[in-house]
Amino acid sequence: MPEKLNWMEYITQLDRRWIFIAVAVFVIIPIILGTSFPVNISPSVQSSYDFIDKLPPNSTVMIVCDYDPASEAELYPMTLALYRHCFDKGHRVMSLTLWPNGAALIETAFDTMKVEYKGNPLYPDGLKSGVNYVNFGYGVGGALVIIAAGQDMKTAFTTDYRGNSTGSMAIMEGVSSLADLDYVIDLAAGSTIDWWVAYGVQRYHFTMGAGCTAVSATQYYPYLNTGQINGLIGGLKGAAEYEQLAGHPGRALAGMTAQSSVHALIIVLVIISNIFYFLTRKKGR
Amino acid sequence: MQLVKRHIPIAVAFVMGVLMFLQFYIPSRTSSNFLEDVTQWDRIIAGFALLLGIYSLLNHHYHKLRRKVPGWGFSVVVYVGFFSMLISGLAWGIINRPPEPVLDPATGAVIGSMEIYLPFMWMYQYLFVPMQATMFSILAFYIASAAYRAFRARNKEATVLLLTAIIVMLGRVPLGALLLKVYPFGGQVELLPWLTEWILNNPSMAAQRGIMIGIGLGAISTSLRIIFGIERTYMGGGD
Repeated sequence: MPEKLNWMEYITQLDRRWIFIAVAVFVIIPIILGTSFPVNISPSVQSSYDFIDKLPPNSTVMIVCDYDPASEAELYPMTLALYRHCFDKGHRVMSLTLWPNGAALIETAFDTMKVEYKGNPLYPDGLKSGVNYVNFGYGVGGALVIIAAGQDMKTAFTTDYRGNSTGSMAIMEGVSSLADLDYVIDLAAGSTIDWWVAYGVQRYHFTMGAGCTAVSATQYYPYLNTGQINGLIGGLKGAAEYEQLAGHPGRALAGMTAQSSVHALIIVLVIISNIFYFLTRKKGR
Repeated sequence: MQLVKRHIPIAVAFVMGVLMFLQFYIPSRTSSNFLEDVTQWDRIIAGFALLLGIYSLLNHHYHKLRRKVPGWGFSVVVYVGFFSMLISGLAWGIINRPPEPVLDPATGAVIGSMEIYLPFMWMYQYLFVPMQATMFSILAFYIASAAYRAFRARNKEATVLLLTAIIVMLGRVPLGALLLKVYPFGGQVELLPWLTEWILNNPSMAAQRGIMIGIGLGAISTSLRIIFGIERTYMGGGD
């Protein structure tokens, strides 16, 4: 039976290029077919959504976009879903990033919102920078930016992304420190949620939620459990849940089928590899 | 020389470390102003660190080019990329005008938007963003390949890990809930999403909490070592 053993060995040591092709097919076909699944809502996403939803109109929500284009696929749809929800509720939105390459993504997201909300009855003159939203851009100094904003927002962000002075902006009315914000949510590709909790929430006592890439979601459950963050949106699935809750299906919900099929593929591959691993081990004995 | 290179930095670290420590526990206007000033100084220094990073990057690749080490062509790409972004940003600016909505001539409804890109933003949007996104998305291919090769139930611990991974992977996507329509606890919850949340909220969180406490204790001990001049590697030299 040596041929059979070789065949089994071939399966266990399958050339990785076949796996790459399979992954590509399992991503591309669902996207081409355009099928979609309804997503079940996890409690951590629901609580972030509920908090924003229950804030009175004209509340100030800060959405921190601590990511760059590498994590754009997961966190940008999350950003758009949050912006849409906030603007639907008539909230004022502030954004900044602690990542140098993230500021332009925020501006692109706000530009998208400006087009989407043109003609919206809530905003007869359209969304206006400095009134309905502000992009503070890139804050140099990492965690120090959080402390600086906690001490004095106008000193921490003297100008916005376009170089306009923030001191006279209508959106800054009643906001002198992070403590004056109604909600802060950090969408992070790295470890900035730790900074926002340690130097922001613990020091200036504001309510905070978080969003992150799927791979790092497990890291932030302790904060959720202690109440240091009141919600956690994890990965593209979390973004899809938020899109579904906010009633704005977008890129995240569209990507759920591709993600589901790749997860299923990986599980099947792991099962196959284990079956053949045990068969070859048995033969070896 | 010892005074400038060693004693003064250690004294600065000690004084600032102790002052910042005390500041946290003294809620007064003076303390608050001190924190504000120190934060501003720190942010200015962080800005200079960016310049240092740029110098270090260019210097590193300059030496690679001069010595023509294998792969020196990539250093050319670094220089071309860096200077094309820098020059286009300085010459034409880095911020696009807001996009103009495109209206349907018949109805007047917004059907899209038209953006006029500056060279810097065009390179950012159409070169930098897709390239970085591609780098990250390649991970999916490697994860699938690595899972196939390495995720084996070799012993009890590996089997537990394998089963947990399968549950979480299925529970984190809508397909899982569709495949396994089981509703325990009087039909109040779906089994797989509930089980996934339980794993994340209990065993996984317990491990994460342990790691966080360890990191916290490590950070405290390292800070104390720096404040008292025991840890000096931050000054360079490695003693």
